[in-house]
Amino acid sequence: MPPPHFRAGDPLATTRSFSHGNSNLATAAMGLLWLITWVERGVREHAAPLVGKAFIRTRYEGDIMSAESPDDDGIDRRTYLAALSATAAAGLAGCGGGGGGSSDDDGGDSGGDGTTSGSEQDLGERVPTVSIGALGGVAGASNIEQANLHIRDQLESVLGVPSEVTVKELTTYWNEVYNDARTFSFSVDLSPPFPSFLDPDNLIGPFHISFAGTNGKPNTSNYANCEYSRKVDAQRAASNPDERETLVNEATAIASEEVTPITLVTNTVAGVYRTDQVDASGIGTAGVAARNPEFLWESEPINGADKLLVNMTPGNIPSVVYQNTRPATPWVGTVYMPLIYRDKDYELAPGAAESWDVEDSFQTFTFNLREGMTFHNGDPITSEDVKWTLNWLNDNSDSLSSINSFPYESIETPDDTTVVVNMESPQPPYINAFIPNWSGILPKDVWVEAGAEENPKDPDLDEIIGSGPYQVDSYQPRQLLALSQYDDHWIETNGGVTFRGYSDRQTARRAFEEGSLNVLINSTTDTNEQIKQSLGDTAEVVTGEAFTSWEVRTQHSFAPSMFTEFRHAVSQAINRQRMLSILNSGNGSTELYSSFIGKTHPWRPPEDMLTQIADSPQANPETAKQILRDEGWGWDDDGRLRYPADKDLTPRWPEDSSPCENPDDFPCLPELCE
Amino acid sequence: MSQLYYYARRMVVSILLVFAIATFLFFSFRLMPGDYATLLLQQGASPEQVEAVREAWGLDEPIYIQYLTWMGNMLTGNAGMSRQFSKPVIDVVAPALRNSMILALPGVLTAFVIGSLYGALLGTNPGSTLEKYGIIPPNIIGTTPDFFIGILLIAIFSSALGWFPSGSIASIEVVTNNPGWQIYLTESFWYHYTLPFVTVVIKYMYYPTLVMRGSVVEVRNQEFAVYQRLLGLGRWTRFRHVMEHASLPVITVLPAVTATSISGLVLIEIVFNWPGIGQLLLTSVFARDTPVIQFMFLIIAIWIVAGNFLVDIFYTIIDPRITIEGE
Repeated sequence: MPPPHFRAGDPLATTRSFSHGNSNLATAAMGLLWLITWVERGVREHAAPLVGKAFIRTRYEGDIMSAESPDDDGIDRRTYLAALSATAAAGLAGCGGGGGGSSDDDGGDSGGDGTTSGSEQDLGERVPTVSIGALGGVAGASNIEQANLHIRDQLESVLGVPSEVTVKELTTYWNEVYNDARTFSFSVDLSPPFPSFLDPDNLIGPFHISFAGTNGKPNTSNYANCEYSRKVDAQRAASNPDERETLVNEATAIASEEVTPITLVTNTVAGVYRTDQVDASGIGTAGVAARNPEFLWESEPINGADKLLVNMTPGNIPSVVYQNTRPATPWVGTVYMPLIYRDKDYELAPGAAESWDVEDSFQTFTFNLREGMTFHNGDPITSEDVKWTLNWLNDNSDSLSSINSFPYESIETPDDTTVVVNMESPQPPYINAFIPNWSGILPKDVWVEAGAEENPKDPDLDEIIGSGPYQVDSYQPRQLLALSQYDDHWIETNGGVTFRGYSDRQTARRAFEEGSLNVLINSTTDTNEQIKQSLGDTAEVVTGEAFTSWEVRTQHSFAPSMFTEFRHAVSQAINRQRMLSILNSGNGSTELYSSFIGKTHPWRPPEDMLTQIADSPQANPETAKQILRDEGWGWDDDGRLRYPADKDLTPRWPEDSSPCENPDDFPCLPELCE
Repeated sequence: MSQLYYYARRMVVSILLVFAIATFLFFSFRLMPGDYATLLLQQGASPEQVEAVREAWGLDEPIYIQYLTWMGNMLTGNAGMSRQFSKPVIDVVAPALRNSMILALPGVLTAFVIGSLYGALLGTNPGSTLEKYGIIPPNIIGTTPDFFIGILLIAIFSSALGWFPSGSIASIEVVTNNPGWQIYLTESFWYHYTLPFVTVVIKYMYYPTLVMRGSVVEVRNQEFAVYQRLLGLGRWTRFRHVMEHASLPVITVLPAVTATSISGLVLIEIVFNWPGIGQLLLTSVFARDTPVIQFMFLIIAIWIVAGNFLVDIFYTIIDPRITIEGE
């Protein structure tokens, strides 16, 4: 496990989005926003077709936090100005096309820079315009678009491939990739750092061959590799942890060798606390975050403050049935105590169960509960409550949208402090992904009386009776979850915690600066800079690397992104240092190896198993070109990339179809589709 | 045409309009790409779970079945269950609507009273310096985004002067101890209420000021006003008569402005972290919580239609000639 990567007061990057920038600039520029909007509308209607650049579609999304999203948002000043000036220049010049060669037939002046190789007769057809999909309508959309624009620029200038960026609204994006619509070849994306992703199955599982193709399943690269998929299946049925680790490593290595994904930079998480109100402790790798319960338990309110006052996205505290909400961080480890929890370094730690055993190839799980635990109404916590909780979750997994069902054979309670869970088949992710997140013990009697068995999504609870170190003083959906210490608990906290809903990061920042909040989670570098400017040493910024990475997801079903050498060349052409600046404002670190599993993830395979896909953090244009040359690709006199003459460009499976519908083309099918 | 027939006809038209809007809302939401279930996929749910959710919510039914079910439920007062809040939609929307109403209605009404008086003042002093330059501030404010006014007020009165809090409905202690409507009785609420209220007033003074100014200019040149002036009626008496005639256009825009203020409220509420329908709408859009979004849009539509209906009725009181429509 790598050491923590936390540091205070990170250097500030030069690239930032408009709405989080210098406050004076923001104030002045916001006054012009309405004017820009009208100008942009005019530009879009009258001049954009002349330019033919997708980046004119940049749009204002507001400055809005979304649940657990990576970060900032808002109109991007530089993109806007670039778009406007490019448009103006094009209009003035009477330019009627081009823009770097966006059609297959125009020669363009892009790319290649003197790298013409061989005669054109030796080469195949030109690589057509490549589409890049930019995820829009989410927090951080502006940065994601900029990252995609960088890929476009590198494709054009280094590889001589005309390309275009199209912003895709969130659900449009998913619909297209889940159904292999082939509307774009590349897109920058990341897996959110939800605790459930600490189990490797959630990171590698979606890329199973049975999820590829037009079937609505979430294989976001439409990656289809038999050997990889076999390993994924095998790790789910592994007989012991070592075997599982080996299989996970081998699966990741297979994908890595195929440059899947094009890993870019680590994802970062940041939080701030007020040093005049909080004596912070328990930060660890997980950092200043609601999903780090040890930070909440161990940090002490000081100088008259009696609670930690923490911002929370309103959508994360919508209902007392937290099992219907993802992630569940304000409730688990606070109000409800899980059997096992994730500690400050993401390691499994004993919660309500002081010890546990995993036997019979991940089929039998034994939990030994602590003696003398009580619910917040004073009733004892027994194994019967645990059994009821696990069964209730499983019975209602259809209606509780966050809950996965498990094939329980039986749940036994030989005594008040022992719970034995028997599964019908091996379930390795159970202990890693499910128990730490969802096993918060519910009081059986209270929930049964409230009608939870008949109406699981809306039980009629008079008051919230929990099993964790905090009891609920007040809960108002979306607005507030106020907790105070529950005295009869083995975890001694240093005061209460109040989570308050804020949908706007800047509003939360102002509340933090005036002292209405003393902990700010999910903050951005720009927010942190503003806070440091206004509060100085009164605010401590903690930035760390999350266990997931930003990566380029490549579509494997069609040319040219289905070719490994092309993906590798694109990877080498990308300037990761620039990506670090765009996506993380300079925080975190670059990734030179391809891996679904991030650098700080406990399941990260050893480096020698992974494939290095970038020589250095900067762009490596010569390496990129050489990789293609070695495979017979070349450039024509116009500097345009051409396929090798004999390259088979047939898609790996027909459009509107899937590997499972074409078993003859894949040696492992159809059995892996069953 | 009797007055009663006129009222009845307007009512039927209004009901049909609401019905048409509801139908349009339903289909436009269903035609949008993605739904709550697809959102779950991104959050790591398995395809089997997503299918189960689709089935549980009836999203796998043919669209006309979904429509008939939804319309039937709406007619019986059942707006469905919120997906993210796991509560009946009405229970979710009601408190948010209450918080928004207490901000929007007094704010817009105050803006109309002050704006109308200011517009009348400008209109009754044609050619004066006040008339020439007094129209500039409302024009500037009217074309400035709502949220920017809010940010400006926060920057001055909260960050710089420290007179008011930067946002939220009340302090954490007060919210913790006062669930429900009791919060409106606390000092902390009114303290937090000031800046968002002033933002609404400043923003929405623009419409009545401009409309009233133009209307007064027009009315005071009509024959009756000239005649009254010749008769030597007192200044205030003439002003009252002019206002009575000039107020019709202002009353016309009132319900529309009140309704459009909702769109402005979304941003004002976010800037001030006000737990109203603007913030709820935002949270629901992110969560693709269609039942909540549909219901809120419907409420807004009903508000506009009902407002226009009431204005029509009110016209007949102010100016009985309006009842002879069609003759």
